[in-house]
Amino acid sequence: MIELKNFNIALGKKYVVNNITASFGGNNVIIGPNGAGKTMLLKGMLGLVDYTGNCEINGNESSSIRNMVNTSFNLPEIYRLTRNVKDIVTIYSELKGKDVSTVYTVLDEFNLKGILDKNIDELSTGQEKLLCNILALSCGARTILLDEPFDNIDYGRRIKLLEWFNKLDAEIIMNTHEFEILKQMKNYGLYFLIDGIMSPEFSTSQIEKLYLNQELNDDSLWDIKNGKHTFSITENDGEIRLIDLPGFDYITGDGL
Amino acid sequence: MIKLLTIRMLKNKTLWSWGIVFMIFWLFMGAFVFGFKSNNYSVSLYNAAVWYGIIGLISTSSLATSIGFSVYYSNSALAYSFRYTLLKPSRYIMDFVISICFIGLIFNIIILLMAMLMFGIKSGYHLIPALPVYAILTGIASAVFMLLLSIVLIVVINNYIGLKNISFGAYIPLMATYLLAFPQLFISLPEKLVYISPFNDIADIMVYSFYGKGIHFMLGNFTGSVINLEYSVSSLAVWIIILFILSLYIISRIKPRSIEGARQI
Repeated sequence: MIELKNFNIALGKKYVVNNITASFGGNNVIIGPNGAGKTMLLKGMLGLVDYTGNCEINGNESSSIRNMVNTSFNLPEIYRLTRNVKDIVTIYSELKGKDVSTVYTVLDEFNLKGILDKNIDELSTGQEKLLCNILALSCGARTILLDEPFDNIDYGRRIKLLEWFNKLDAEIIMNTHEFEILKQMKNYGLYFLIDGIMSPEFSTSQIEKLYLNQELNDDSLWDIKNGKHTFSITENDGEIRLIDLPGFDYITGDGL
Repeated sequence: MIKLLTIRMLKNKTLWSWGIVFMIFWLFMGAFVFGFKSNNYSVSLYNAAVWYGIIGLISTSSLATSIGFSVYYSNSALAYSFRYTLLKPSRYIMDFVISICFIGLIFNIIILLMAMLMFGIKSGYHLIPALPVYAILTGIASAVFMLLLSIVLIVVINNYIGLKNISFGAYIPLMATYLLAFPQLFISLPEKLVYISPFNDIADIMVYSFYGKGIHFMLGNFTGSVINLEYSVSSLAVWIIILFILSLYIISRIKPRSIEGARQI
């Protein structure tokens, strides 16, 4: 369980995460356009960037957490204690208190055993993303944060990852900018994040019923004001179904 | 971690290039280009001792540069690992210290043997270090000092000063070596500076370990007052203890930074 209370992250004078109060239990997905603050939000949740307000992971304020092995993250730079993939797998398995064979088995399932002899900077973007997903997911963590876990990953492996998520006895918070993948997620908590502002909780099972409107609406479930445009999200009826949007640039205005 | 760090450093070609190959080149220069042939064994031994002391120090300071960059590249990994893995700052520092002891041992033995060989050929004597175990132990202490100094400098710059200074910070140990220890060859530095400066302490103890007799404040001269090695050893020990405590404190507070932040242009 991750609980945020008046949670802010500022870069210089600009707030990239703006006064979020939310409680994340179970599986959740945060969706937003590029630059919305999604990655920064996850880093902040783990105390890897300075924040104001409160963030508790299973009751512990994240800025003062030490050696909490049951929480993991998939950001590539956090696995760069060394360069060689085999060394990375060995060392992080040891540091998470797990047998390295668990990771080897999963790498084999994803047909990735060939990367073990390479350096991490020699991997393709997709291979690096998969490796970091696997390290985050196979260490027995009960709270797992995933930054864009499907980026640059082929369709078959995306489905495999989703199946893995559903089997895990863990709470997952992931972010993405892709609507398409949401169709594959059943009963995940769904949050929109735009310009650092987070929506109330929706559900991925609602996604096909949610509509985007380019004006405020009395029946709106959430209003978005991004500085350029005003939008609202409604259920069952509206201008355009969210799931049919070509991308999030439509919401932020760049695609209009 | 110890095995991993040791192997990683042993396989690092840059470390070998700067820490050994380049240092052997300077020993060669010291023996055959700048050196002189003396018919006195003691003078020949002292000449070799001085070069061994300075080059042994520079060799370990080159370790500091590589370690500095390595710690910087690991800033996000360390920040995450201290929070969400079993890694503790004390274990990271201790594992690094143990690994660097091994590297310091190997590097110092090589420098010692090369100094004996090259200055032995030049002088025509079998130049045997008077206290080889002390010499090697000082080499190891030097490597540990450089490691701890490098960690403290890089984390301070990473956290508080600004990433564009990372390169400068990584080279501070090397620059300090040249600025403080090298001049002691040619000029008589203030006595307090010679004792307080850990760089001079290391060089002086190494020279003494090789030569086995009292050495002077100006290393390139046989005259003047003699250095009290007990002060030098005590000063170096205090520096290592202070840096050890500081490094433990500061590494636990390392902040994740973008590696690109250090780009100069």
